[in-house]
Amino acid sequence: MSTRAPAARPLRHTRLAMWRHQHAWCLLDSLRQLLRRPLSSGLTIAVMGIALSLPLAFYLLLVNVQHFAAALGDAQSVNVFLEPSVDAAGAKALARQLRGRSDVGAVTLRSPRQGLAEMAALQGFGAAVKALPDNPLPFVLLVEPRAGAQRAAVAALVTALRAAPGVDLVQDNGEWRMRLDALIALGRRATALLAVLLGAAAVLVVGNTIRLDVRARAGEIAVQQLIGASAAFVRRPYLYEGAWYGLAAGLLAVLLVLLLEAVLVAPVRDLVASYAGRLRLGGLDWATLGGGWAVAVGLGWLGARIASAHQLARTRA
Amino acid sequence: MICFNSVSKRYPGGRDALVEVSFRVAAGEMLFVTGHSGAGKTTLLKLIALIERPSHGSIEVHGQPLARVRRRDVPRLRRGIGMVFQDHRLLMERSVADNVALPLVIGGIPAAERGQRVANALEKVGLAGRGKDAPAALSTGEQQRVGIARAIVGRPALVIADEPTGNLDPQLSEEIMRLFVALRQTGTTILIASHDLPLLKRMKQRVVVLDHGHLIDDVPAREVA
Repeated sequence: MSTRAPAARPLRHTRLAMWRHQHAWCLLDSLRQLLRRPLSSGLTIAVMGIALSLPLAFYLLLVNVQHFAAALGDAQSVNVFLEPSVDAAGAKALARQLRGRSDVGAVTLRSPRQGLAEMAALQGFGAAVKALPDNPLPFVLLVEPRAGAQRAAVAALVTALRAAPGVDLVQDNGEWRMRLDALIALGRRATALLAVLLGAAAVLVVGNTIRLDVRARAGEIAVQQLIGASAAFVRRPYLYEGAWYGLAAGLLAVLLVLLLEAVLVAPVRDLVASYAGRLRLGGLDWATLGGGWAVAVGLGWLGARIASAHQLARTRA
Repeated sequence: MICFNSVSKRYPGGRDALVEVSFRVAAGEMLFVTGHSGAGKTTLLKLIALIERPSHGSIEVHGQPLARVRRRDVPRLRRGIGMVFQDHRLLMERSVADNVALPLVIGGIPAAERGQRVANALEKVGLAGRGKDAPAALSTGEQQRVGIARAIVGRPALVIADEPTGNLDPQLSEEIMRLFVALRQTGTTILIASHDLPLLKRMKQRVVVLDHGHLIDDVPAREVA
């Protein structure tokens, strides 16, 4: 009878092959574990997917608001509505006078007839315009401040325009645009914050699921440790499980956003039409969707990493 | 192969599980450790598998002082030992084949080779063709055979078994012990803790007797009667 020598430490390339085989097993085994409990896995994926779809949906909204703002142009312009009593000659004289100012870049005169025609072209206004007995619109001067003018200079120009003779109303588009830009900045920050909060929620959801799973499989973990499983080996299936959750939840989130886009496409088309083609609205690009999906996988992995590290530290044999 | 040198183990609370225990087991030898409940048999096996560390003394396994084995190297040491438990410790939600394959998975053995080695191990313990069964579908004796197949599938140089026949009737116990004897013929060193003295006498292998943590007798195989 010959005695058997203990196995020597494997060579580096053998260790790499072993590592690869272990990973292959853990990858498939974690998927099997997930599929063995379809209801609880499905619920976890649904909660995580919905949580992750919200920031994507808000981002979609934000992107479209940005498109909307872009469609409105730079909008430093100031609309000067003249009094109804001002005739064409008076309007032209005021336009000439304004063109002479150093803080004015350009002045465009728009007659009441042009204004009415523009209004009639807007969806839903055609019939109303036709019903009017006469044209109630005044002459309007579209004043473009000098290129590169600071906000304070534009404000001073607006004040001067309000004081000009024959001026009824001055509408500062820049102010409105400034508010819109501030709202977009606020929306961007709120979306980022929401993404962080809901991302954290996704991590917690996966973490809690993995924590319960580790507890439920404490006996199996103990056996693995007794027969020589390293801490990394024991942890690995749970990390893959978290990544699977992230993968499925990310896919769900992407599908939900695409569904949202599909549902909103008709009203958005109407809105685009009302801006006579100036407005270009659209969905999220594939890079963003793919990035969101990858982040979901990362969040699932992170949740599993945190939960398994915490829980496995208690079960070390 | 295994060398205990004045090994003592005191658990928190002051209970002495082993006191100044010294013995050697040669490579390829089969040794029974016996004694009443609480004599220190399980502690002795736990020390070999590094589930516990001695309070005093030194242990060598495969010529390696266990005191020098770092925590992160413990799994590798355990992979070189086949362990059989009284309660089998089978994973009831996995198939028989999956249970037996577990040490190979941990060892990073490719899937194709795993299948072959699992089939061989199951054949050795008389369970050929039962790989797809659930452990719950097997009798207690068959479950213990699965436990033994799992212990030997990795071809360890050392197998330790803690009361492997504790829950079995005499006939099944003898069958299981015959499996260990057959395993020894392949050169594997075997250490079995058992309190079943009549069975040990029939097996006619070396027996170490513990009593309250003290090694009180070391009976060579030829003197077992």
